[in-house]
Amino acid sequence: MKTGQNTISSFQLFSMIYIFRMVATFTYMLRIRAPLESTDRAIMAIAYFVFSLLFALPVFLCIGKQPYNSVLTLAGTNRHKWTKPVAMYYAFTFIWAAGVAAARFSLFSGIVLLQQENLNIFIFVLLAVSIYCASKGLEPLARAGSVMSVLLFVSLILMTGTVIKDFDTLYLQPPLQSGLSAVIYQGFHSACRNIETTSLLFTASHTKGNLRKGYLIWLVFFCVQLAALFLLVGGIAAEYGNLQMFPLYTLAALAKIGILERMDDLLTGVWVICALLKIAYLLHTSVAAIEEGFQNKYNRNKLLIAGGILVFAANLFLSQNIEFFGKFIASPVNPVLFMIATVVLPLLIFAKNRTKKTAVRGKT
Amino acid sequence: MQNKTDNHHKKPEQSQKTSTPLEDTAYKNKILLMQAFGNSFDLMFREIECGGKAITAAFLDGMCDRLFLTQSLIKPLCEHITEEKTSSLKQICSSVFEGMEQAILHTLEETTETLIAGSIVLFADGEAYCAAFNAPNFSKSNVSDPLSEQQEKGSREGFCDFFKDNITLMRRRLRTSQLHIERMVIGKTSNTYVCVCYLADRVDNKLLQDVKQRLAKTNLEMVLGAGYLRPFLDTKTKTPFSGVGATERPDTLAAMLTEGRIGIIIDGNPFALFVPQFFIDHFHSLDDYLTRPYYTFLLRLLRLTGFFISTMLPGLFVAVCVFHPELLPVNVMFDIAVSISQTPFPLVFEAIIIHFIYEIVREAGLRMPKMVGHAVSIVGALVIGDAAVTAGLIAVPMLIVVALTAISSAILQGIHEPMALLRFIFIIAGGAMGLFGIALAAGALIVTICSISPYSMPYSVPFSPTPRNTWQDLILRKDHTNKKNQQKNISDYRY
Repeated sequence: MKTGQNTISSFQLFSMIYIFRMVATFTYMLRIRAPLESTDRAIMAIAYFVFSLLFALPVFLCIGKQPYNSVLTLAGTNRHKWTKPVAMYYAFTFIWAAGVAAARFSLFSGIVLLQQENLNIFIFVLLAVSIYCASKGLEPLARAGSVMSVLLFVSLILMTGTVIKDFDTLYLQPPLQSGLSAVIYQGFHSACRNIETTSLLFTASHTKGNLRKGYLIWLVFFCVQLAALFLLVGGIAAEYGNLQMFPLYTLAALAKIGILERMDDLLTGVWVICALLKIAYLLHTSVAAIEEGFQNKYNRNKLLIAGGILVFAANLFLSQNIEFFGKFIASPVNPVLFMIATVVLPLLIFAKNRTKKTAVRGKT
Repeated sequence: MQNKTDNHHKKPEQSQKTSTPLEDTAYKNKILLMQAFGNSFDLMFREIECGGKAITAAFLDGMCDRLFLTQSLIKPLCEHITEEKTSSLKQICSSVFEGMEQAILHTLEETTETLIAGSIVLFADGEAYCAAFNAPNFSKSNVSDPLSEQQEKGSREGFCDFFKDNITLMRRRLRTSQLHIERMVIGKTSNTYVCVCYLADRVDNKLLQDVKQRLAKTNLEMVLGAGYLRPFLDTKTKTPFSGVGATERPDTLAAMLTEGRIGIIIDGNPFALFVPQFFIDHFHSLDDYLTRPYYTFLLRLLRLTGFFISTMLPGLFVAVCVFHPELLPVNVMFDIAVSISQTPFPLVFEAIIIHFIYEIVREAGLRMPKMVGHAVSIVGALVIGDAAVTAGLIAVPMLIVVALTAISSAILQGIHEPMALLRFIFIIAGGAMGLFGIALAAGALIVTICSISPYSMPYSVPFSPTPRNTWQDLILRKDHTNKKNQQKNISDYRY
C-alpha cells in the first residue's frame, strides 16, 4: 500500500476528476456542436460511457500491473531516447487541455458572468491563482477537490430541487431524433475531452486504493448525472434550452429559493473554484510529466510559471471569438491529441514492456 | 535516610556551561555567590555557628519560603547541633532533615540555578559542596477562570503562570501514570521551564520525537510567552493558519492529550500549546461535549457560519453591490443603492477603511487599561456608528456588515488572526472581480488549508481526507454512549 506525503486516495482522485468533468459539462456549448435534441443529449451519455471505458482500457493496461510506476517510468526503464519526447508530448497535451479549459471558461464568463469586463485580466488572475494552487502539489489539490465535490453535488441537488417542479415530460423530444450517428459522434467527441483519464498515467503512482473500481464507479455516477442533467434541461427549458449557449447554466439561472431570485451567480461561484482546481491539476500534471521525463532537471515553480504562460497564450488564441473556438474544437486536433496520449502511447509502452519481459524470461 | 533529588535540581540539558567547583569554606562560597549575582540586594545569607562549624544559609529574598527557612531549617539545625556534634554537612542533612526534599550540589552554576528556582542552600566550613532545600514561595497568579476561553458548563479553572500549578491541574484531570511530563529549559537568558506532556499509551512516538527535537533546536535568547515557541513547532510557517494550538483550559488540554496530541506548558504563561492542531479544532469547544448532541450540532453550525461571515461577508457585500446587484431582491437592492450613493467613497475603499478602523478599535480595546477601554469602545461606537453615518461618510448597510463581521469573529477567538487578514483579501478580491474574485480567493483559501500538514497529518482532516468514524465528531456529535465516539486517536490521521 502506498503511504507517505503526496499520496492520495482513489476517492480523492475520482472526486477531483468528477468536478473537472462537471466543469466541462457546465461549460458545454450547445451551438458550436452538431445540435442534438434534448433527449438525445441524455442518450449521448451512454455513448460517452462506452467510449470513455474503451479509452481507459489502454491506460489501465499500461499502469495495471505496475501501479507504483508512472507511464514514463514504464516507458523508459533504461532511460530510453524516446522518454523525453514522450514526456514533452504529455506536458503539451495537458497544457493544451488547460488552455482549452481556460478559453472555454473565458467564453462562459464573458457571456454569463462578467459581460462588461476585460476577461483577459480575469483569466490571467485565474491562471496566477492556479499556478499557486498547483505549486502546493497533488495532495492539496485532491483534498480540495474532494471537499469541492461535496459542495458541487449539494449545489446541484439544490438547483435540481428548486427547478424540478417545472419539469414536464411533454417538453422532451422522442429519442434518437437527431440520428444515432450524431449521438455516437457527440459521445465520441465528448469522451475525447476526457483528458483526466490520460492524467491517470501520471497520478496512478500517487494513488492508493482500487483504481479500476474507482474509475468504473466514477464513470457510472458521472454518466448518470450527465444524462439526468440533460433530461432536466430538456424537460424544463424545452426549446428555449436548445437556443441557449450554455444549457446547464440556463438551468441554474432558472433556480431560485425564497428571496434569492438569482442563484446562478452563487452556483457559478462554486463552478469557478472547480475550474480553478481543474487548471491547477492539469498544470501540475504537465509539470509532473516534464519532471519525470527530465529527471527533475528543472525548477518546479519555474516550470509551473512557464506552463501558466503557455496556457494563457493558448487561451488568448482560442478565445478570440466563439465561432473560432467552435470550429477549432470541432476540428480533429483535439481527438487526435487525445487518442495519441491516451490510446496509442500507452499501448506502445505496454507492448514494449511486454516484449522486454518476454525477452528477459526467455534468457532466464 | 534518604537524599531525594528532585527533577528540579537536575542540571538542564541546555545549560552545559563551564562549571566552577564550590570552595571548602562557607565564607568563600558566599563571596562566589555574591560575585555571581553581582551583589544583588535580594541575595540573602543567614549565618549559624554550631559547634564551631560555620554554616551559611543562602537564598533569594522573595523566591523562597522564609517560614520554612526559620522553622524547618535553622531551628532544627540549631537544636540538633546542641544535642550531638556531627562532622559533615551531608551527615547533618541526612539526620536532621530526614525525608525532606534536598540535594547535594558541587558547582556554582548548579547552586545559582537552584537559588533562582526558589531553593535555600546551606554551606559549611570544610565542605566543598552545598545542600539545597526546595522551598519556592514566590508571588504568582492564582488558578482562576480562563479569560479567553469562557465555557458555559465547563470547569472554572484555567491555567495560571506557574508551571507546577498547571501540571497539578493536568494531573487532577488525567489521574493516570501514563501522563508523562518531561521538563526542558529553553532560552539562553530566560532559562524558562518548558514541560512536554503526553499520554504515553496514546501518543505517536514519531510525533513525540519530532516535537522534542524541535524544542531542543530552539536557539532563543528568551521565552516570554507561547508565541516564542510557536514558529519552532509549526511545520509550515508561510501560511496564515497554524498547526500549533493554544489553550488556557486544562480540561481542553486533557482532552487533546487523550486524543494522542502533545501539550507544552511554559512557565510564566497561562497558555499551553498543543500539537498538532487541525482546522476543525477551531470550531469545537468543550461545551460541545457537555450539552445535548442536537444543540452541539447547532453550535458548530453557528461557528462555521461565523467563520464564513467573518471572512467573506464584507467581500461578498462589496462584490454583490458593485458587480451583481441582481442577486438581491429589488426592494433591498434599491435601499442599499440609495444608501451607498450618498457616501463619497467607492464601496471597496469604504469597506477597507472601516474594517481597518474596526481593527484599530479592537486593538485599542485590548491594550488599554480596562477603565479607558470602555471609553475607547464608546468613542469608537459613537464616531464610527453614529457620527460617520450622520456625516454621510459611511453607508448604513456597510455598518451593519461590519457589526455582523465583528460579532461573528468574536465567536472564533482562536482563529482571529487569519480571519482578519483574509477579510481584507476578500474585500479586495470582491471589489476587483466580483463573485469571480471571491470564488478565486475561496479556492486559493481551500487549497491553502488543504496544503498544511502539521507533523504529517492533514490540517483539513476530517473534511478531507475523512478517516473512518471521524464524521461522528465533525459537525454532528454522537452521544457519549456511542462506543465509536469514545476512542479517537490522531495518529490514525498520519500518512
